[in-house]
Amino acid sequence: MLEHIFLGLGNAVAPAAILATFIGTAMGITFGALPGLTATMGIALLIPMTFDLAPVVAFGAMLGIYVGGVYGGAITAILVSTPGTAMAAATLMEGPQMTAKGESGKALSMTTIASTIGGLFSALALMLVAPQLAKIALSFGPPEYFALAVFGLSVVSGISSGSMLKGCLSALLGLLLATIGLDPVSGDIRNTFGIPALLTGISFVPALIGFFAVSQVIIRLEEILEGKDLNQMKGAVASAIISAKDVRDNKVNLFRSSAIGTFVGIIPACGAGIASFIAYNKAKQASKTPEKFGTGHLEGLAATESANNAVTGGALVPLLTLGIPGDVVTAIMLGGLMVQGLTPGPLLFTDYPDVVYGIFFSLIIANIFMLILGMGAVKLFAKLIQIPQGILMPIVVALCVVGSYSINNSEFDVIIMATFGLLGYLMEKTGFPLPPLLLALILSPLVESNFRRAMLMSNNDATIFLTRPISCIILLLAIGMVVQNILNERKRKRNIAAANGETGESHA
Amino acid sequence: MRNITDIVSGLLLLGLVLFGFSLTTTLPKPLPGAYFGPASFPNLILTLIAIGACGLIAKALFIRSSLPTKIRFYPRALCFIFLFFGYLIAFLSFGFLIATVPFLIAAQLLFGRSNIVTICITALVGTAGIYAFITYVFKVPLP
Repeated sequence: MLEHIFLGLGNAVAPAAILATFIGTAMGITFGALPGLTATMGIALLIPMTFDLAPVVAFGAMLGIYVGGVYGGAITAILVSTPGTAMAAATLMEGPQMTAKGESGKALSMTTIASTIGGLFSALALMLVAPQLAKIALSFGPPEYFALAVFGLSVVSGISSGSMLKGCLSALLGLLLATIGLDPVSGDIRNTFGIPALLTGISFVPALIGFFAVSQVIIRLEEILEGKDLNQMKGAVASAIISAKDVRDNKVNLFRSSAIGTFVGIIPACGAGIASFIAYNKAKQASKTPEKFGTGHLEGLAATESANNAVTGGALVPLLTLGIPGDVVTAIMLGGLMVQGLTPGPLLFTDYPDVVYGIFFSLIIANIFMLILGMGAVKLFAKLIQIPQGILMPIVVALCVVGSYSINNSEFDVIIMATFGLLGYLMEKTGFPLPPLLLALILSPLVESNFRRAMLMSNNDATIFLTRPISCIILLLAIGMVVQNILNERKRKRNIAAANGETGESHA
Repeated sequence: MRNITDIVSGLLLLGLVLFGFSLTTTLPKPLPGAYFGPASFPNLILTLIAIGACGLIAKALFIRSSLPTKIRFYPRALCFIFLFFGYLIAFLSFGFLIATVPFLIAAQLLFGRSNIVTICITALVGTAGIYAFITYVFKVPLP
């Protein structure tokens, strides 16, 4: 155990890993801060370049982008009143108001400190929780894995923003696309249209590059044509930063919000956005000055930022221990691990413990780099926000083409990327959410192969899923999650209808 | 307002379902002793898509929406899509360097940049930068 920890530490602090994590973190902050670019896009573009790298080096860079991307979104939210990423939506409640009061320096420094505390807290929680959960998961058979994959699919109900029906259809399309290739049990060829390159299924990385980068560039072009300019910074960054007393005054708030973020991160589909709103609410309830919340209050900002960065470590728990991604970013990171020949799940902990501990330490190092870059170069990142989209977006497209080609030096991969780019654009235009399709594309082989293996094990008795306690509990949890998300969706629609009614009355 | 987009989407999905079923009928039968074969899972998904698509069409027909229900396509965005596919053909036919410079120039123009000198400089520097980064740092040969 101790030997693996030291090996992992050695992997994470190797010069190449340190450099990759540093570059990844800087790239993540840039991608998070620039409206139109996201951490998801950053990781998708990075994966093709990680083939020749050692697993910890490659994953260190991806973790850097993830951590930096969550943090970077807040920079734009504070300075431009537009969250760089959806994860920074709660930052809008205090950040822009602090900028308006001339306290942008204080807001950014508190964001940096709070994000680092949240990130480090969740990394430690990951180190403690993940190995224990992996030990339990070692006893899992096909019925449990089928139940887990179904649980992963139930996440779709939570990430289908807008229309749950369209989210489910999007997931079904993903499941269907994943059936292209060889049948996972009998090895028969399915739906390949006679194209040999499709025998191994749809190449995952080119598909996600097209889906989350190319389609977003076209959508961004349309936003520009609609007159949306997200690059307008209101004034320069103020120099004054927070004091040690400000941090001391918020220590309970910071740790409570970090714990909330970590816990929410472990639950698939919840994500950083939800964590920061819950933490903000709790901070307001516990505050001696709740009336100041919403007016540019440091306490509120400390809560949202520590919570959303704490999600990063929490979200890695189900990914690494069970191989179930809880959101789009971790789904793409799962693809990154698979590219390295590693299959996330409990066996990762027994077969490659040095890699697992290396990943844990890389997460800690990424958070330390985030602190250094945030405190030292925040003005530079603020300037980056103003790079014209007209320069950035065409370069992103060129990188998409080069990235998808370089995976296997395959022309067919470029065609896959372009096809998925167009599909992603059309789906966005018609209101079909993209994340469910990606999640289903990943989970489909797990669902099908484990279901059929379990049925063969039980001589076609479907009650095997209910008679095995762990599988039964996981399936019940999946049903619970779907029901909960349906209720939440109904409540959201009622609130929207009520708000529209009020607006209508006030207009009348 | 009837949601035309959802009706068209639903019909396209039903078309996909028919096409899918025509493919799965050619797949082998289940192995002896197994209820489920290579076609079972795709057939289940296709059935669920068909149900979902019918639901989408019914919802669009019977529940009137207050939101905009037609998609707006921008000519410049469509031009960008054609440019993108043209770039892919050029990339695969003539190679990265020859294809990327004109693509970056045309794409910047579509994104609304107007200073032709800075556009050309950005295109040249961007192409050279990506080429150097990919071929020398990551040792990936580009066409």
